Amino acid sequence: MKNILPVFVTLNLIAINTLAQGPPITADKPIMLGAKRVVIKSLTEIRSTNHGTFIKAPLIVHYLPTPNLLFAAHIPYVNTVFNENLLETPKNFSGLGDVELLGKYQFYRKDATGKTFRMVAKTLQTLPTGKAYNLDGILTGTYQGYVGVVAGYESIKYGISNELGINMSGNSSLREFKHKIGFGLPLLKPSYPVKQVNLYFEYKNSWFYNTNGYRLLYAQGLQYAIKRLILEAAIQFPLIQENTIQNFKRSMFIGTRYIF
Amino acid sequence: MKIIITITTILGMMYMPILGISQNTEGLVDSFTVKVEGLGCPYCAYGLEKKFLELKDVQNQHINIETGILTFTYPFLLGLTTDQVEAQVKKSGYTAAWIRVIRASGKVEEDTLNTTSKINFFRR
Repeated sequence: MKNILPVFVTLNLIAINTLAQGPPITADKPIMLGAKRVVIKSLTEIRSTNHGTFIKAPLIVHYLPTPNLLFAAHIPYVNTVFNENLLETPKNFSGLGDVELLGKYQFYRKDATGKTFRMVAKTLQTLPTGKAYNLDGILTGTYQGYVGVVAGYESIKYGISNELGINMSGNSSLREFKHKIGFGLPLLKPSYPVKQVNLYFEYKNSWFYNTNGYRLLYAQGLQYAIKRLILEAAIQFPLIQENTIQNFKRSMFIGTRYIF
Repeated sequence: MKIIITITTILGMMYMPILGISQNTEGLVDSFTVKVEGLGCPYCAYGLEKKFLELKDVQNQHINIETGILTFTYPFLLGLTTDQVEAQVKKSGYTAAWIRVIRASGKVEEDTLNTTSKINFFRR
């Protein structure tokens, strides 16, 4: 617990001085793509923990009715393979996970040539449509409500996405104070139509304040964007884990997104 | 009947120059140059491009990501205004700093809308 404050402060200082380019992979972004846009995406996570291996493959549909407002639905397919040496091994499950509904509203925008700073209020409602397996972020079977703010500066050369929020739930072990930052390095000169290769460095802090658990995850990602299609992959592993219900070993992310 | 047609033709030819319409307007286009602020990533430009493609007769659309300059042509006879262009930029989630139009008649219109680039808020 005593590590939490210095880590949050350090990451925020890094966030101020380190910049990124393009949409982050595991973090969120404040940039919106204009009114009446639809984005279809998926980001499959294959997570290995001390409890087993879990896969979440969501179909994500974003719709922007106005330039400042975004609604999205995340419909996940989940597969669990629990280790057999657990004290109580749950029955393995494949099927629908927890459906999530996302809403974002951009309340601040400051544009200049080739750069922008934006702030977005965000809410993510997790519906208990999956099994109650207490796998945070994968399968909980519990209603959860998240509210947060995403702030980001982005330019054709530099940028950053930064998110701070709180997750509330009837299940006390899922109550979480969350902070994410994503920054990266464009490996090709910006061009339009898009042809980009970006390298990503993303951090996720989770403080489970009811159980006093803390986890800091680091994700290294690579993104290839060609015209309207983005292909991305990342590997995420823990830097710090204290008093967490699951001990993460690593997560693999493979994703794609397409803008209509 | 012949007299009516003759008079109509003569009157039409007389009024065309007054209205700024040349005798052969078909195929004539207005050339638009728009300075767009906030294009922070190449992927973001798709929203802008798509929003202008909603104006069905837009042609020769080009976006320079580094300068934030959007250029396109539009049929002269349809009379696209700078207000309509500004509205399309706004709907795509960005800010129009200025718009310059060279009308097919040769008339040049300039509209300065935003001065943030002059303020240089994000000075490095």
